[in-house]
Amino acid sequence: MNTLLEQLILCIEKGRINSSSNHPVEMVGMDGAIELAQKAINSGISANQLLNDALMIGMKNIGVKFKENRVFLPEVLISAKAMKSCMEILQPYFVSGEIQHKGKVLLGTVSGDLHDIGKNIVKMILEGGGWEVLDLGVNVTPVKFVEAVNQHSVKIVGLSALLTTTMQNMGSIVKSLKEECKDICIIIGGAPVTKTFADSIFADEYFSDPQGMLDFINKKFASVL
Amino acid sequence: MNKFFINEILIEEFELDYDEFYLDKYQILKSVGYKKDDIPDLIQQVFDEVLIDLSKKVNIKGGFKIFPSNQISIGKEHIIISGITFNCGEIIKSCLTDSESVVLLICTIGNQVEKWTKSLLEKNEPLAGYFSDLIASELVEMAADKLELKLEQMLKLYKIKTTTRFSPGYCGWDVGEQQKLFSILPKGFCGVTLNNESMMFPVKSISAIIGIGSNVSKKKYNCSKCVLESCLKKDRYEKYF
Repeated sequence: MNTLLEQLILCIEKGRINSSSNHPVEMVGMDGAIELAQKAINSGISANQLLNDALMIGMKNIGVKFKENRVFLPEVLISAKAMKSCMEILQPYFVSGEIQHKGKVLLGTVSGDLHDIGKNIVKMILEGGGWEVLDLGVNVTPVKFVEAVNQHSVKIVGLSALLTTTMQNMGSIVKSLKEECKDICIIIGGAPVTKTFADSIFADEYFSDPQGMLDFINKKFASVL
Repeated sequence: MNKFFINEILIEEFELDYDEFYLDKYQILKSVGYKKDDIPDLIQQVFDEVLIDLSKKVNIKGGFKIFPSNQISIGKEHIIISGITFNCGEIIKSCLTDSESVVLLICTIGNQVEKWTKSLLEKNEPLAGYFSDLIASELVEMAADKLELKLEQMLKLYKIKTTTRFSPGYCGWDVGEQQKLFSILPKGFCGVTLNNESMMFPVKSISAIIGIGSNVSKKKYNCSKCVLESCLKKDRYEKYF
């Protein structure tokens, strides 16, 4: 494999953003993800190869380590930040259609609930994993979810809630989506949510962490990798 | 119980100084999964930076309302406070049974930290945003601990003891009962309000009930009897203690 891409994989995995970063210690003074991604493009490596053979591999590697408890969420977030910085370099290629996201995911905090920090962290991890995320924000009603799914032709919806009261609103959203939208996969999460609860409201999946959701949609839906 | 607490409602409100709190970096990072000697430098650096900035954004307030005994009735099925019936669930009710009265407690760290957390996430600073939220959650729990201690010290003078602290949403107590709890507190007590879905504003706030009396004691949270599969309090107590 191209050395530039190998270095870039390592930078994403370690969360080394640029050459001025002092992280990780063993890479101080070396180029970071932004410089390497730019150099790769300048050297003629295609945006598609850069995305799939380096950035995604770096994120995949950190995801595996997280799953094996070798790293924890903060390290995944560092990698996601490095990834997002590189995605900005790739933005023109997404716009031109030269490269594509793995697919679209719709996220929202359910009606009545105004918590969005957990949802925003999920959003960053999914974007870092190569997905286009359409964020409906907080206090999202069943009607708004259905409208957005139909408008954007989305097949994956993530619902978030932080209270046991608002968690109950997930049931009516799942029901509306299942009735109004074909072949929709609904994933739920949030502090009070459990697998048992997900089953009781006929949600398709529950994950306790964003990496779990990313791994699942990568396996089941990713069209690019 | 001392005569004062039998006949009078007592309301106290405090501003708490951030310097009174010691946020233990290693304990908080332990709750994320790290062992003390195995935390990457960048993780520690970002944590330290967030802690410094966060200290300038908190506004810690707390208070409690002590109800006179004649406004309290603790039955087999429920607890009545000032004519309002609370269904706290079996676990809490069994811990409050011997109480002669109850105290409702509120505390908050204000809304600036939450705004700052959101801005960090928007600026592609996910780790700082995550730590800000994590530390804020721990700080508001510590503020409630501090307030509980103030209450205990005050009541000790009258030889009155306290039970464990319980919050709506935990130990089988429906979070919807926040509505009842707030209805018997002064409006906007400590600057905390509630929406229709029983969500407190500022978000980093805690409400709780504590039983008081001559023959009560603090008991461990009876997590084994609780039906909640996922519980922030349980996680906190299991990981810390």
